[in-house]
Amino acid sequence: MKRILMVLFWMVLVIPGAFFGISAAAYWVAYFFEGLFRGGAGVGNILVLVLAAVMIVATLLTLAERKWSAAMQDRVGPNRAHIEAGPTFIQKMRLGGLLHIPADVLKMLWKEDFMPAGARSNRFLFNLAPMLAFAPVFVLFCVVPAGPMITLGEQARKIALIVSNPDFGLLYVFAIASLAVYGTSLAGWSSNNKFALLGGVRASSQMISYEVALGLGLVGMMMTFSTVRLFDMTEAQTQYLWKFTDGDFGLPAWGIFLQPVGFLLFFAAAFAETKRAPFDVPEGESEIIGYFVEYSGMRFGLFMISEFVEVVVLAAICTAIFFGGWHLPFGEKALYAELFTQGKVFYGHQWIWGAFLGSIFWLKVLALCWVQLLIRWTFPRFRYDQIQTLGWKMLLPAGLVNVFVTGALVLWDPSLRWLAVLGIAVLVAIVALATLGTGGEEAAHAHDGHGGHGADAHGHDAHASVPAHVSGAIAPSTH
Amino acid sequence: MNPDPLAPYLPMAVLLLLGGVLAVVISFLASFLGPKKPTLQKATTFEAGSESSGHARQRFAVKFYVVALLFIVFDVEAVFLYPWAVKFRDLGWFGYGEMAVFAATLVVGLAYVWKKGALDWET
Amino acid sequence: MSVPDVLFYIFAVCLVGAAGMVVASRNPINAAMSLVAAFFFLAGIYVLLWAHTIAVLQVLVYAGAVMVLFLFVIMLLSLSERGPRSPITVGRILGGAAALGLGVVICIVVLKLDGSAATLTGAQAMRFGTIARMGELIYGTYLFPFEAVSLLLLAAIVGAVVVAKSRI
Repeated sequence: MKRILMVLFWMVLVIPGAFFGISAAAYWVAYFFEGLFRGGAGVGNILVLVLAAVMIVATLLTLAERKWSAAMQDRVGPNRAHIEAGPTFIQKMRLGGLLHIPADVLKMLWKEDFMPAGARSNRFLFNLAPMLAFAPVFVLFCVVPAGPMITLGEQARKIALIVSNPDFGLLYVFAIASLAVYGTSLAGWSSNNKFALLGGVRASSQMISYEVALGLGLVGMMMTFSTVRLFDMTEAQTQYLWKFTDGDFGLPAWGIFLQPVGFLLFFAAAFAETKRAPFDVPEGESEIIGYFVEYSGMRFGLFMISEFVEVVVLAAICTAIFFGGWHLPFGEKALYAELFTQGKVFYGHQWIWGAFLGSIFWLKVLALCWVQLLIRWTFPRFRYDQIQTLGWKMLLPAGLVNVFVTGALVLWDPSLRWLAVLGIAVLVAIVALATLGTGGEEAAHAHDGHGGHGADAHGHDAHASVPAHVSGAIAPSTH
Repeated sequence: MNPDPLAPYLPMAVLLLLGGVLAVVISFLASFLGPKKPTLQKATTFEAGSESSGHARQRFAVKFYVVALLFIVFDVEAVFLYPWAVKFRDLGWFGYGEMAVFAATLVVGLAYVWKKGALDWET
Repeated sequence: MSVPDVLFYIFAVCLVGAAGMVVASRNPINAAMSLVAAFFFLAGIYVLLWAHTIAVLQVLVYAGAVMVLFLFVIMLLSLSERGPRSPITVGRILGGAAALGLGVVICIVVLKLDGSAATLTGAQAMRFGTIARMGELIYGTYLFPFEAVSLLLLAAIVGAVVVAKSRI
């Protein structure tokens, strides 16, 4: 009971509160920078959104991953790290394992950074590879909007929580994400290690195979909303497909209702891009040797943290496109009218409204990160031929079919209602398949109508991903 | 006020630079802070404890090459889909037909590749 | 000089430098990576020409897809890390002459081009190379070339399979 209360306390108060604070800080920092020079709001957003919010969530995910895997396997998880100094209550402090994060960072930074003799002939490329793995992923959040456009402060500046909103929006994500291939292939090649080379080639081949599905999955959403800007897509999701009452209540035009197949395609493809289980053949930590086998210390850490940043950015993009971004499903306009219009409690304090919606966005992102952890610790690893088959023979044709079915329905009924009817039917079918008998995995692959392959695409591989960090391990993160 | 066409690129450029600088700084810190005690054993190629044999400059399966080529083709197809998707509602059924013809040609290609077994990894 | 001018010279110098590295580098992988860098600077120049979408597609297609294939081929063939410094041959002289000739042709074409787009400012420049504008052009004016591209891509698919699996 006490534990449940504790969890509720964290979920209801601390986490939303923290994100409310971060969003509010982001608005005011952006406001301050906009005052310094024109276009400064975006630069201010870099500081708070990318350097603080994304990096903090990604860092916390390294612990959450281990804690959650422990919970799923009935273990306690990492809980030993503590400070060996000061008064007794500090020495006893465990903070639920939070101290493992600084312990890991410090350990990796102070580890010996050595280079195998075989890599010395390509010293430059060997050093470049982890940077090329990290940098593209780090800059991905650039076009993702995390909060609405509001009017702020005495100068009445219009500030939105987005670093940059260029015309090509999503294409920036595709372009930059495609560069991460160089990190893996160069790491594998320059290590001069047969296993690293194999891992590197496998990783690169897997990433490019799923890149097509990644793009195709989102074409349907571009067609329904006629834009590639994530900000405009988020705003387009405020309309209602059907209103149930006269008030501000109905079914919102969220991407998940319009394009469930697109969501599954994009999610599966992006998941494969992160190279996490079940797509972790290139880097299987416990038995197959990955492309980063010859890297030590923080250079390895760069590969690892980029994986977690990718998880956060993927969740954020999914939130913006498929789950209404920072918007509430319904009642948002009514709530605004109730609290922020002339004569109401918060009138004139637009930043509270912005920060509130910003925290909604981050809560959705956290929920999707959690789904990714759930998948990562549930599914057994695919064999490599299964990965390639899934990418080319299922996701690619499914993506093409989805584009043309969506197109026909949008042209036939521009109000999107028939698209939503089909989408909801698909959602119901997926849920039914997932709950009735066959289990979740087949359902995840049955969405494209190739359900027969689903049985083939799982379970042959007996290597259920064994957790590398055994129960209660002290600081080391052997991810 | 006339908008500055370079305005969206300023924060983007700052972020790109920051990403590069951060990656370099972290890598530098990693080699700067740690101890340096190279030994012969550490410098050997790590193959999970076994003696390393042969070298890593080996050729690998041609399938990877085929996949890379197919990827380019379908990536270009996807690139043509993006502007079409944005103008899709204005183009109407005629635009739909245009893209259907384009995609059908590539689907023929995909069917050919499929039939030829270039997508089979089991063998 | 205005800000776009300064940026143009920075990108141009970096682009030529990176392109020079591609030719001069004796390690084929280093050459390939220099080409990736060159594509980035080229994307910067596209932005200054207000070809916003072309800029990002340059990175997406060339840096993100075509160069990956190059890298694969270099690794696939396990080309020696340091190629020999070969003597000057007839082929090299002919190649150089062809490159020079191509350069002259490009210069002539560039001088004849209508450069009015580069002088656009403000909202006009914002609207110039947008993805919607590209959609109008490709699926309206240039419809036939667009459909022809599909045949080209089909030929590429068939060619890839035939070259890789010639025994079938």
